[in-house]
Amino acid sequence: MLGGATLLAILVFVLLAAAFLRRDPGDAPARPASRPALWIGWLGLAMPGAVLTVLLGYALVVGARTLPRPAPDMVTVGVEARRYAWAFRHPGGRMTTGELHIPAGRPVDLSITATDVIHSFWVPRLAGKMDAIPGHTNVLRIVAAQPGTYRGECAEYCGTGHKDHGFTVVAHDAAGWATFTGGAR
Amino acid sequence: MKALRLHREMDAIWRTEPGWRGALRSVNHSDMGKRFIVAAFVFFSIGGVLAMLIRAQLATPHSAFVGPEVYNQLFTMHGSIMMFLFAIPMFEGLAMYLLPKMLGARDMAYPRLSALGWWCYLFGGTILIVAMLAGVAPDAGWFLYPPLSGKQWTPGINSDVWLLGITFVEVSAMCAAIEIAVSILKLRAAGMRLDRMPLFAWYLLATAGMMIFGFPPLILGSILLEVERAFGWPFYTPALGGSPLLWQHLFWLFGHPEVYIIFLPAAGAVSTILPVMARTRILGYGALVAAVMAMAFLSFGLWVHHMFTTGIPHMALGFFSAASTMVAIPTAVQIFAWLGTLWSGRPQLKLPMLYLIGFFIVFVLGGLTGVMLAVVPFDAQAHDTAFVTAHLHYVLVGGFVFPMLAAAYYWLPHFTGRGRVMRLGEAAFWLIFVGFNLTFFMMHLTGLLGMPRRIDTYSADMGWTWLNLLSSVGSFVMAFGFALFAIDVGLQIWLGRRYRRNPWQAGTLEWAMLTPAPSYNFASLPTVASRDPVADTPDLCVRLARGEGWLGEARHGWRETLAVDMVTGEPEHIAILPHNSWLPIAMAATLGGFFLAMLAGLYVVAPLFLIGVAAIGWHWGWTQGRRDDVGTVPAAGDRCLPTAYEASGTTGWWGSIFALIASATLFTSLLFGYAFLWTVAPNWPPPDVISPTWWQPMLALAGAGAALAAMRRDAAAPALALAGQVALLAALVGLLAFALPAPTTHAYAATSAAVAAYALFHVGIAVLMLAFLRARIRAGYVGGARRNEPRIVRLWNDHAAGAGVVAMLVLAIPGWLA
Amino acid sequence: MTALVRMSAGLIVWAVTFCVLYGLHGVGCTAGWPSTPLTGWIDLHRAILAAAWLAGIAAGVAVVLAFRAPRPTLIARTGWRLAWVGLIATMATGLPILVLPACL
Repeated sequence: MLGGATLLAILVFVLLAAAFLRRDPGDAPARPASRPALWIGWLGLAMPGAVLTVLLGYALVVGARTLPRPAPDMVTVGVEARRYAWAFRHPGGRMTTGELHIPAGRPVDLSITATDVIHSFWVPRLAGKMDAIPGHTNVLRIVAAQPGTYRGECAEYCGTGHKDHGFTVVAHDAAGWATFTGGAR
Repeated sequence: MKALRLHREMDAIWRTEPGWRGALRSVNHSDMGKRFIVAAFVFFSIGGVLAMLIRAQLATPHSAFVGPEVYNQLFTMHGSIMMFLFAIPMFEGLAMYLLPKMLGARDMAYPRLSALGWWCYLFGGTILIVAMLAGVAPDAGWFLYPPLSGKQWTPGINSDVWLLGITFVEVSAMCAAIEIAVSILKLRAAGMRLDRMPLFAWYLLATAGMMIFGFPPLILGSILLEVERAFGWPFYTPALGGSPLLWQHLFWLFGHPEVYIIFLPAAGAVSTILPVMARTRILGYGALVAAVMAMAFLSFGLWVHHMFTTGIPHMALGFFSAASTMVAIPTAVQIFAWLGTLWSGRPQLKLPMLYLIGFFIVFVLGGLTGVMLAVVPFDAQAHDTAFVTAHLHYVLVGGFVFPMLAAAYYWLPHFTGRGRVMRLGEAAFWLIFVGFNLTFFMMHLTGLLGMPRRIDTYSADMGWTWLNLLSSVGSFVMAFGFALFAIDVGLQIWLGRRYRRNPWQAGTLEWAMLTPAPSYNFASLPTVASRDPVADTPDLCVRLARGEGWLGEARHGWRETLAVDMVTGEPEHIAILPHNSWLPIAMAATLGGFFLAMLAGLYVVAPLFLIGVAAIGWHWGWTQGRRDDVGTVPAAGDRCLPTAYEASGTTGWWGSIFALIASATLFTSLLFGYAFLWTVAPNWPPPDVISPTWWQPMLALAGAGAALAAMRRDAAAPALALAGQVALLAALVGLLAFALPAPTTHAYAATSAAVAAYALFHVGIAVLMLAFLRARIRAGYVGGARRNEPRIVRLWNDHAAGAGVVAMLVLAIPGWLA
Repeated sequence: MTALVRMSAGLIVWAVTFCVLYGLHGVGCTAGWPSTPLTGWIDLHRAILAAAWLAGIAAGVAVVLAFRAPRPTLIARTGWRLAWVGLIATMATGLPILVLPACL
């Protein structure tokens, strides 16, 4: 997308600059309006239409891949946001605050809600964000390819403590996960 | 000598009286336009200072410049001021000043409404600024999401200041939207067909239409949130069946069209200024009209792209993602039409053109990041980060501020009749352009590095430090640029030398008059046969001043302008406009009293102000009209036309149509909200629904039927219609009092009560108007050929009857089904 | 005024189709339509939405045909252009029905 955007920007800027540099300043009579079909038909309609259709298809396909489709080795964790902490309920019943534990290499569905105002769950290195809305439960699919620790933050303005509303995600390998959950899958 | 005598006579009729008395009573569109523009710039400066405070805070990590409580007010007010007190009023002012001149008319359609809009804007904006100085500014973000903005989490009046103050200003915006639409459609020069209209008028017509449909959802949402905060009706409270998502839908249903409402007038200015700078005609007038109409409609299908991360199913998100990408096509059509215009002309790098180049570069970059954000998986990462802040500033500053700066330099010779003093404008441009890009380009990067929006500080190990510092430095450079611009404009206004008329040699009608403009614009009104009437007739200014056009005589003390057929521009009748009056400021002050009483929690006192509004409204309507027929009067040569008193399809009638469309949009949004809560909100079904009931619906149907039938013919039977409306009112009150559960118990009851309240409001207006009509008939104002008042009252009567029946059925059906 | 409304017919058809699709989608997910498969990949939800989308496209085509060979006035030509805009926008808007699962 960045590459495409850069090319389009350069196209517009070059056309703009060229309009000024094309001829000597002077008072020659104005030329008749040139070729609306080129400017409006091709550059204004056809080119953007083609580019955007491809982009839309790409967007829908890539977006579909992020969806929480049922998977056999899926794990579900409950997430509850409040001002200003995150509470997690893991399979097997274990609850933590501020630290989310997940198995690495397996799809994890987070059931996200809030108790007071709207917050947003975001671990940039693992997935996009999902709002935590009181009265609603939203499901976000995340997958940590490797075991490790990942930073998370609240991504919806929730008051004076919004900036201090981060959390950590710990992705365990299979043995570590079994230990953490006390044997629950 | 004829021109001078005609000028004196016209000026005597149209002028604003001198001194304070004149200033408070003025209804002149040039006065109002200038006031809106100057006030908008003052608010821009205040918003700009707030921005600099924000940047000062964010320049370094762990900053203690301001604490989070203050910071939250800073960014909320910055956004609210810029969106509501700067952008919209700025283009409203430009439109109000320019449109009658460009269209060959003497004023806008409703001069007193223009003045009312001005005073409401001034008073509402003042409420917000005073609250800020008192430390109780709104602090829940400029889009005020509940529950954070609700009573529990914002117990102070901060949110109420926003809800009441901004709604007060929105009265101004709605008045302007209706007036702009009617003025463009009806008050044009003879022969100005729609396809001979300046493009600026097409852009503003589309904008006005968007405002008519786009503002009511915001007004509704704000009313509901204020009622929730004040009276506990749980529209947005999940525990009682409400949903915070309802607010988001209502807000963004307004919020997305809002940014196109801001962009389109600026694009209209570009379409006007650019061909003149290139010394040619615009390329693709027809394509641009289609592009503008397409943008106006498509922009209403985008709003959920502000909600991509709220958990809405992906297929629904896909609809909005598709529309969000598609809307870039009509935008691109405009960009390339403008580039093609430059290529087909001989562009000169004059000062307005320099700012237009700034527009091209900044806006196109913003548009490209916008298309990126339309891709849902990308938005899932970038939403609520500094990337979005960067995008929105690129499109708003690029797409609105740069064109407005160009417009300022382009039309300043018209406003002032003077030329430039020093070459500060070029220096200002470079400071603004470089400063802007330094400030906001960095934010794309900080956003992608994970910096969220609306945090008051950050830690040094995040890697955002240098980028933020550069942004802050850039913001100060930009601020210097704006200061230079202000100085430059000030110098031109007060020290510039007298300048020639039409220095740009443009072809549109606003340049066919003396500059600065006289109070009446044109001593006589032109006939146009093309899109460039001034180019066709180089001495048009002189001819019109001599009275050679339409309505070239000052008679009976009337303020006359020409009303034409909407499509063909064929003259239809003569609109007679009101004189200077105390009514606008009195009405605005009374409305202000209502909003302040609500803000102070004086809920018993507040309705008294509404009674005052009704009384002033009655007097407002009473001062127009005649007790006798006038017949046709000479309009030009031997052409005679009727006056508006005795014509149909008048500005008053069309204004009512557009006002009722806006109101119907609010009602539709409310019904959508009702359905939304029923299907999506938690804790449904409600513990109690309406008890099954029959007498209220029967009474309502009877009353509505009587009201509708009674007004079938002009001035037929207002007494019967009045009785019908009273019956309808009783039915609705009966429903509320005896059948519906208490509104504070559940969102179902609250929304049902809101539906009934909407119908009651309109029935109340209909009752007042029918009583007014009866009084007018008895006083002799209706009779002979003067039939407009019954026609207009019928519109409101019918709408109230319809709304009453719809409300009654929507509310009663759950009771029958249970 | 009616001339301007007729000119916008293509866009009005798009707007109505958009509302219908969005509304049906919400109602269908609440009512549990996706869990009623018809054949293979097509379930009740997708079938209903696709039908609504095709109806919108058909209406869009009808508007384009109504404006074919427009008179040489701006209003008529704009109506023709907006008819095409509406039709293409309707086609693009409904693409998610083909690609995405209904209620995830």
